[in-house]
Amino acid sequence: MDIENAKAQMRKGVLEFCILSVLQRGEAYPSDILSALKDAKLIVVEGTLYPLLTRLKNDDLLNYRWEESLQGPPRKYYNITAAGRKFQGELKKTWDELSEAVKRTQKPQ
Amino acid sequence: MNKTISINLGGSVFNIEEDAFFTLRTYLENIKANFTGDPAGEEIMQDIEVRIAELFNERMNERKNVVVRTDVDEVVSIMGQPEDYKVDADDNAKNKSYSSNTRHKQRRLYRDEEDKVLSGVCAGLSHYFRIDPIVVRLLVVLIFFISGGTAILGYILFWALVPKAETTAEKLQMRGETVDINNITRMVNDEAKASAERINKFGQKTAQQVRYATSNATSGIGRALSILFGFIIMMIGFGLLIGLLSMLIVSDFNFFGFGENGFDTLNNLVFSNDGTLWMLATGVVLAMGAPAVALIYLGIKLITASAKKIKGLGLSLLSLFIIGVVLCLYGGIKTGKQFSCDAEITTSALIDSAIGDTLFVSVLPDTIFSRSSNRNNDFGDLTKITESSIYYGEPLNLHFEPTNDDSYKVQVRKSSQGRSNDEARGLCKNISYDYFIKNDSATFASFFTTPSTDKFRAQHIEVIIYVPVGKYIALGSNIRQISWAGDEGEVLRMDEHGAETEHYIEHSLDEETDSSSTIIETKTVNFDDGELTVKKEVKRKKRD
Repeated sequence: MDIENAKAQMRKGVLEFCILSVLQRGEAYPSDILSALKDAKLIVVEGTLYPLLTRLKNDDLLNYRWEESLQGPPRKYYNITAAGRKFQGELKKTWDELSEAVKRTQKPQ
Repeated sequence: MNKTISINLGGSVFNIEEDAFFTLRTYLENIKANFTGDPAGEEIMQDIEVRIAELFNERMNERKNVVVRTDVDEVVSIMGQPEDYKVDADDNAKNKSYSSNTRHKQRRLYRDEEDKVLSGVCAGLSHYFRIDPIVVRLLVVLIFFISGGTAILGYILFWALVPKAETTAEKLQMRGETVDINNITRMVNDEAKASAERINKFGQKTAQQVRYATSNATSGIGRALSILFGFIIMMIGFGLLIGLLSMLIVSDFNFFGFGENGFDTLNNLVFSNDGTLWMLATGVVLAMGAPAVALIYLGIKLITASAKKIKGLGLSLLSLFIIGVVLCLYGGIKTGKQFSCDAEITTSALIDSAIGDTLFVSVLPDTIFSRSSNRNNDFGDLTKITESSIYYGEPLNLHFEPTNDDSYKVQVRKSSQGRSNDEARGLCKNISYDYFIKNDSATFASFFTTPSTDKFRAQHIEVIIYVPVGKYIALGSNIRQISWAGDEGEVLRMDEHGAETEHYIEHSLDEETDSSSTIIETKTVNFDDGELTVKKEVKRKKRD
């Protein structure tokens, strides 16, 4: 078992959940989402984010609008949809249950 | 001093140094490989490019306006290695059934233009099925001939519908190799090496060696086979071409045996001289000629293995072939419409049942066509056009069928086709056919006529003689000219079985051992001044 791979898999699993959670707080530009995730040490590189955003958008969990930028081309601003909120809620429930379960398994009996 | 390249990245223009440019391009290509076959791939790439552009912009200022290698390296470290772009393999439900190994190793069908003979279809198939390309080519050539050439349409479809492998990722997928960064890098390096070698050593021979070294087709047997088949293909191509040319030049469009002026005759008889026949003839020449040239070229290429590629040859031949097929189809449909409706007129004559148990059937001597006593199926040889009439020796058929009635019955069916039912019926009525019934003889003409103003619309005469079961038919002179029933001099007995009369007639009574009598008959039919005289002499030899 490749430990790096296992770590990456675990991180990626919660990534979608975290993106939705970040956007739950309000509209954001990818760099904003990135900095939030980077602060949380969830991702190290930016590249991982773009495919996920597009996929979430294609699943109607996210929406975006174009906003003109002072320097460079217009930027995509992402916001969460109603379906996205519901999805995030479900994930949160699962996450809480899961983290509780994990905590318990780690406790010495 | 460094050369710079101007690029458009995510909508912004940058001047970028050459080595930085190549690094960036490879980086983007490698990322793109992650999204091959993903419908959202384009959009993701767009977002990534925009983000990279933004990162570059942050690094530009008044004093620095060129993107250099270190900028690219920094951006790569921020954005991550191409593998980092991969979305978790299991998030895609439809891929769950595959293990991640097979999923990446699935091959896709592309045309391989690097190893092509004509279009790379066969090479692509050989990658797909993991067979040596020569085997695929042999199979395709075999299928081509088994199908009588029609398989070429299938080949054209493949050519048109299967995309060629253009990017490195596509080439890897075509070969069934995992599209990952190592492989892409390896491929790109190989390619660079190969082209460098090509440039260095110039000369076709070396290029050939490189080509073969990369394409696994080096085996001596393969080479020998390709020469052998090249030769066969070339010969077939020449054969086709020679056949076509001889049809055109030597026999002056000797269609259907019309002889020297066959083209004009046919044009006049069927096509009203409206150019349709020209269209069909041109169509045939193109539809046959283009594949012939293609085969010869293919053969030469297979034999020499170093023949120059003639640019656009395949495409021009293909277009000519398609034009030929279209002309044939158009002309064919246009002509076919003239034959779309049928009409039939039947006249019957009962023969007095008092005549006895034998009907003598004969055919008048052929005064129009100088044909032998045997049937001759050449349409042109049996068609004669005069000022007032057209004489047809074909299609004219006489046969016998059983009946449970007491008397013989002669039925003559005139049929014709035409653009409309009315036209067909009119043409039918215009057919004139002579036959004479006198006592126990029935005599038929060996041709029918139509007015010379009538076009040929498959006018047809069918003579059916209904023979009471158990009675006899004696076949007289020239019977072979219009009937397959038997030879002159034969006597046939009608059996009670089925409709396919000829098979159930017991041949020649005298061959029957249990028969009590043998019939030896001679009969002459004379046709003078419209008056028919029949002489008949019948001898019956009784056995015992």
